[in-house]
Amino acid sequence: MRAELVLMGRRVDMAPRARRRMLVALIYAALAALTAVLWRYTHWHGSGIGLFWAIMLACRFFLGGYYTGGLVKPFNGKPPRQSDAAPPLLALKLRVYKPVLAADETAYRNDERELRQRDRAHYAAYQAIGCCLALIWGLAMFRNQSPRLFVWVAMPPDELYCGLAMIAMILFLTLPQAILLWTEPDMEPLDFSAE
Amino acid sequence: MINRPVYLGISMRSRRQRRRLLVGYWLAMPLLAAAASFLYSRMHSDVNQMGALLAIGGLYGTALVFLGGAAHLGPMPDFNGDPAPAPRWVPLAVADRLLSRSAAGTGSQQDSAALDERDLYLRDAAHYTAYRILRECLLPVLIAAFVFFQYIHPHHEYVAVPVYACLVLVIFNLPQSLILWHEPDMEPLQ
Repeated sequence: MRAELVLMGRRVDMAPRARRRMLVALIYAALAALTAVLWRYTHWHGSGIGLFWAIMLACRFFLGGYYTGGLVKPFNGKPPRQSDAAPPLLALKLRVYKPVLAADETAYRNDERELRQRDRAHYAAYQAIGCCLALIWGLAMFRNQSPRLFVWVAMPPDELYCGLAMIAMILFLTLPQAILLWTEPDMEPLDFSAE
Repeated sequence: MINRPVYLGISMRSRRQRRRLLVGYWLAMPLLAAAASFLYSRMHSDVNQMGALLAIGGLYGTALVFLGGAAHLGPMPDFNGDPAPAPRWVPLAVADRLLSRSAAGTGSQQDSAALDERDLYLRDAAHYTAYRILRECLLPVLIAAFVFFQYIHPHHEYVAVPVYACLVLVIFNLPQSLILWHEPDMEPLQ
């Protein structure tokens, strides 16, 4: 796991666990707010793809794991593809671009301990996602069976299932990285005075 | 990882045999989903509601625990690593007790211990692989769902239950399937 994040051109020390937990909480709060805004204006009709791309950006710039950017090292341990193309415009504008070089193996290669942590985090996330979907399934079944018990829910069933599916998608795409960031103990503080 | 080489009368020692079982199991899943959907669609009409609900619950409950990893049933131990208590699921538990043999050859899983280091490694690695597979499938599924709900069938209400049921089945059985598929042939019992 990396101990720093480059944001708006500044290096942020993410070695303390408290900061990483704060970042995870902020990301989930932002995604929850976005989900609420989408419901307010579109009632989640056709807006799931917007949320999907928001999650992708959060993963690419902050969480990592399935991408070379972000705090968690790439899960597959493969070296990043080297390209002569210019970095993405959004990354330049946000000044978060920090290339991971193929020669720097420690930046992308997971050691034995990290591989175990990765697998364990995926196991925990998998259980949580499974339980989440089972709950949604049970709710859908119960609602179809006894619709009168759900009259207090101020949204039609279509919207409810769509919203729950979006929550499941958020968890599915971010939970393993969030578990790793949340549980990793304090790392050694970075020395910023060298630059 | 497989602590019951004989499960419900089916030998799990040979990898080939396990793979055949898995292929049959996954081919049966669409049939199961279709049967459950049919029963579910009849719930509001002439078929007895409680009977249909029990049939669906029985079908899905059996399918969920058939490959193991949960509820101390199936050829694999519980993934949580807890030692097995007395079997609770009837009648599968009764059939399991009569027809299964543990790795020690002493009967069903009553004497199984918690997962060892290799089992934990296999369990976590299988879940990671399953997660990756599901993640690769997510975007095509999202696009298909968008097209389906936007243009073909705009009401989620009537398809939500079978869709979520299939998702739960796939999610809860994929890691077990990967383990059963990849475990090498086991040594014959003494």
